Amino acid sequence: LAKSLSRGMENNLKKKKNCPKQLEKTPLNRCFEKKKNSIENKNPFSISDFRYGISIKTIKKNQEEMIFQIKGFDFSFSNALRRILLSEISIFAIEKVFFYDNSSILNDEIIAHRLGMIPIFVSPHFIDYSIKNKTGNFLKIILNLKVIHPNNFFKNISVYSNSLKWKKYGIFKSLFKNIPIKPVFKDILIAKLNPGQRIDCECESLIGIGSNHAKFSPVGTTFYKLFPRIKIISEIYGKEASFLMQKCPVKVFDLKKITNFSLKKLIVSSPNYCTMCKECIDFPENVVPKIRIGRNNQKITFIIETTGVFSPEILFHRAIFLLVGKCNQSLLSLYK
Amino acid sequence: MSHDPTVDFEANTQPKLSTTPESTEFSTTFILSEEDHTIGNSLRYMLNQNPNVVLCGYSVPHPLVSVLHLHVQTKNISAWEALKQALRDIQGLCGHIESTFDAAESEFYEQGGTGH
Repeated sequence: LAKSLSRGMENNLKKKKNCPKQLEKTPLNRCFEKKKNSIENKNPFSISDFRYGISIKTIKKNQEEMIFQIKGFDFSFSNALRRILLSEISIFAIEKVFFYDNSSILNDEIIAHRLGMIPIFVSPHFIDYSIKNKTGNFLKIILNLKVIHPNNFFKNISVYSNSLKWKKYGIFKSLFKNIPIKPVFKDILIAKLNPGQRIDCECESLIGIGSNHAKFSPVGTTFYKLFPRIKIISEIYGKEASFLMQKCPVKVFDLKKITNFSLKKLIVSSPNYCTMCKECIDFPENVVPKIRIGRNNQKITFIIETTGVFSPEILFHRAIFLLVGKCNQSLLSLYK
Repeated sequence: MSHDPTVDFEANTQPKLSTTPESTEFSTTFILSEEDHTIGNSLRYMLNQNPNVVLCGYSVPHPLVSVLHLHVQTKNISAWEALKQALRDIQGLCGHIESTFDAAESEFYEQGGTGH
């Protein structure tokens, strides 16, 4: 029995050795300890403290992508905003397709599926109007796709998304006639046609949210990262410093020259490149640790990449608006 | 599905917020319908910042049923009051985030960054 037990423990040790470095637990003298959540050192939440503690800095912004940094904000709220951005913002997408003629090589349902994934550019005022008038007759956006291969040459033609034309009917002729409704990108390939084939269909697009189907999500991807925290405990000079600087694969460290001293000192120059690969603390256990790594819970980098329907700041405003709305719903039922 | 005009989706919804039968004034389990981790984690964090709250936790009993259980134990104030304060705090926080975000954006434009 003792032999089988010791063999089991040996197997456990072997598993630990073969395990990749990121999944291993960092030994306690090389990482920052978590703050314990006890009753004694709990400060009550006050809005004025929060107002002074928070700061937002925009790093990069263009029409489709936005990166910004938040300080003083707990990660549970940024997770809530990320979940809302992915799945709970309403948007238009093609839902039902009526085929009049389809003699191409792709089936009806495959073309319908591909048409559904195309992002359609609709102005946000129209989306607000459609959400308010949700009862009864929904306002549908109808797009027509009619492509015929003229039978006079032998090469195939490609059907791109700029062949989708908006059909104005009823209220659109008078009230919304100046809104441009078209797909965001002109060069999305839908199908290819051989000589003599044709596609003739009418696409109805409706409002939906991302938790229903992924085509209704306004962002390509959105995520947040906690800022890494690297601290050098005792100063490192000379040969060891250059060895550690070369060990880091993403060039976090740098050497700095000090006056009155011939050797160079190791400093942390760009901590935002760190990927927590733990190469710089990869020493056997009896060596005195000189570097500590961890993550900063209060400094968050937030990245939003949209599909082009909304610009990133409008999306962020809507996400905050939806979070407030959720709290409102619960508050209303509390006050009853 | 959810936007099918033939289905009246206001007909048989559960009440938004209710409590389990064995809850008392200082230790209650709230049952929130149609909620999930989005608001559960934020509420749990806000409730933990309150010094009157002894214990707070949330759980989603089954992933296919969108119901959230939130358990709160308090010392001096009732659990309903604690929940009200937490919800109001989240609203104030969101309002402030929005104004800070706008200020950061205008600062970005002032320093020469273009939106394209």
